[in-house]
Amino acid sequence: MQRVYSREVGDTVIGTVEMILVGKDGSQRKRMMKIFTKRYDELTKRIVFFLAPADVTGTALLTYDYTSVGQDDDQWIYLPALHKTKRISAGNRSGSFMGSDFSYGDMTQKSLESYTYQLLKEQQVNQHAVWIIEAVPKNDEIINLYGYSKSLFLVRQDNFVVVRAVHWLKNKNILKYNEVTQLEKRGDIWVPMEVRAKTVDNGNTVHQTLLINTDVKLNTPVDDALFTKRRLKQGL
Amino acid sequence: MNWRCLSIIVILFFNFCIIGLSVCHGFAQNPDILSLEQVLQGFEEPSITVPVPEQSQGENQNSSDNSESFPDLNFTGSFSTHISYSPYRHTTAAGYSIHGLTSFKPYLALFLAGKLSEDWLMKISGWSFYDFAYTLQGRDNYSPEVLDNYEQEMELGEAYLGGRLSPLLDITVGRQIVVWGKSDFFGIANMVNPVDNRERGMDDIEIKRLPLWMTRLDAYLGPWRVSGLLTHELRYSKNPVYGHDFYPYDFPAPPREDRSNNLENSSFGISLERVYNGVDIGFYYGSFLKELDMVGLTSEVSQLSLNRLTLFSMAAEKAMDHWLFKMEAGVVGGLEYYSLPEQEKTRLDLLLGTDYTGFRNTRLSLEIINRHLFKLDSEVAERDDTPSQDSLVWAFRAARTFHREKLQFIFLSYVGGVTFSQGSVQSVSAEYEVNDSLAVTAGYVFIHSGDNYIMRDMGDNDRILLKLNYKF
Repeated sequence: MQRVYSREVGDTVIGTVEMILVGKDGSQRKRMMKIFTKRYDELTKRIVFFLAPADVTGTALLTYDYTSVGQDDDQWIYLPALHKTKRISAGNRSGSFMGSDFSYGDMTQKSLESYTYQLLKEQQVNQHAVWIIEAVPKNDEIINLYGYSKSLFLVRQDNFVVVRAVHWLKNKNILKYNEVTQLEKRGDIWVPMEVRAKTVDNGNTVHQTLLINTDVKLNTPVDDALFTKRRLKQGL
Repeated sequence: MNWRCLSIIVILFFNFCIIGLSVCHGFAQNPDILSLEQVLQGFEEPSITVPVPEQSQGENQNSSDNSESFPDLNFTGSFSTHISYSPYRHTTAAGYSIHGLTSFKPYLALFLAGKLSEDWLMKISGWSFYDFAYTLQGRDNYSPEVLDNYEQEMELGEAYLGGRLSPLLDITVGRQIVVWGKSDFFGIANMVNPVDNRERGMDDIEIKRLPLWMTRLDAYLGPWRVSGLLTHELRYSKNPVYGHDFYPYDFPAPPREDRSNNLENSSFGISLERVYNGVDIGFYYGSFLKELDMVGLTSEVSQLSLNRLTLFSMAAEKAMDHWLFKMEAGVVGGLEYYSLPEQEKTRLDLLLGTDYTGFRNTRLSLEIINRHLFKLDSEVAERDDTPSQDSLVWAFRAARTFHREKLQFIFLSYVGGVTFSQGSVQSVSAEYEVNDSLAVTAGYVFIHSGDNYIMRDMGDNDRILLKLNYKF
């Protein structure tokens, strides 16, 4: 897993993300956001500007994601209806991100040292050899933080990208499946362009999310001033 | 069992349900019985087909093309219908009978906002409504003051231009809303803009602040954000009027003191904010021209007076694990009261609050504020026409989302007094998102009378609420 965590993902990433939420009955809702990410040595800064639907337009989320274990992330949200930038606690990363099948924890870099890994087997996925690796949190704190009692990662052996993952929700008979269904190579960097996620409760798919990355730019210079509360309020 | 007891039981039941559902999720069992092959089979099962939007073409690695076309303006808005119903027949202080439909208003809000260039942005908003409830119930059954202030409205909202004068200095000119402090429910530092109080308790925490024409400068000096503002408009809060069931007196309020809109009557303020060791802190100073509190108003008072208030305040908030802790403290000087002529009072406001997000999809918020008035004789403080020496208010809010945030339940409570003797407003509401554009909200507002002058004889002012909101 060391290779997975140290895989080149770009010092900066700019992208427009569309999320399509699909209910059990096939009903769909759409979310659209522009995301800027910049990685530093011990810190990843991310700012998300929500573009759609209309009731979240103008809302923006700023996160300072610290890699060191035990350090709480800093997170602020600008709510245009309240004309206010609010600090929010980042202690619960198990919550759904905008009603999707992705949690806040799924969108952040986890600490390699927080899990015990075991190689279960090797197999082929879409003509690519993968390792199937089980990750078990080392303590209840990690379980409570991310909401998963264990996870499976299917890692492509040629590029170390996690192309499939299964997460067991703690205290529930629910599995969450994530699958990269479109992967592109930009220079030396592999970028998941389309990711599907679904929540399976007792064998029944109860909700799905399709996440589509468009307009992806890697290693483009991004001003540090973008990742500030000043810019949070000013918007895109 | 009377309606009052029943309403309290319903509130408590609703509240425990929100918290209980959260806790129960945590105690369910997780039978881990599937084999690896069975788990992996989940990837092979057919998924619901989702049409994939066309992706942008021509992207390439290391593109440095960040150019955007300006102006980049978005036109958005909402069309909603607000319906409220008074379940109890009651009589206002002015003698008007209220029962049944109290509001039926189509409400249109429009917003035009965006960037004019890389460094400049603008926003214009406005709203309009006409409340058909007065026509349907008979306009003769309402006071002219109520019809003038509640039946129809068309207003310019925010209208400002903002931009960067230098890398360290921003300017915003126009009609705008400035929020100071950290509290979600009360305003210690948050005194800049007047508020719309006409329908107390009918909204969630989205306090209706009224924008003011002002000039604001924001300087970014190292870790500090220093903000200064000067208002160019005399504007006052909108309060319940004579004849309305939230108006406490049996006589109309006199006309407001006439003041010129000049520099002498402007409000001004400065704030300093930064993040220090993971704590968001802010310091605020302001001088604001505000209306006197209406406590002690009598029919002999010839005009609503204005007093210049000075505010020194600080606020801080800190996130720890699932908790967010916040505090505010402020000293407000220059307070005058109708029943205490020739006296200026100083008040100390203290607020403590916390948000807890440890339960799944749930946010619990609690804030407690006490306002202490100095140099108020205890005998005077016991009188009905004077402010209390200490005024304590609790606010509690519980919100939980269900079905991937399509459904949200909210319980909101404001209670006055250490022993809850000053009156209270509680609301329970549910909002269902029909689709990305349409939402339906239904709720009930419970109002309990108390010793506070604006809460006396308000116990029958409960409301049933229904709102349909279409956003575009």
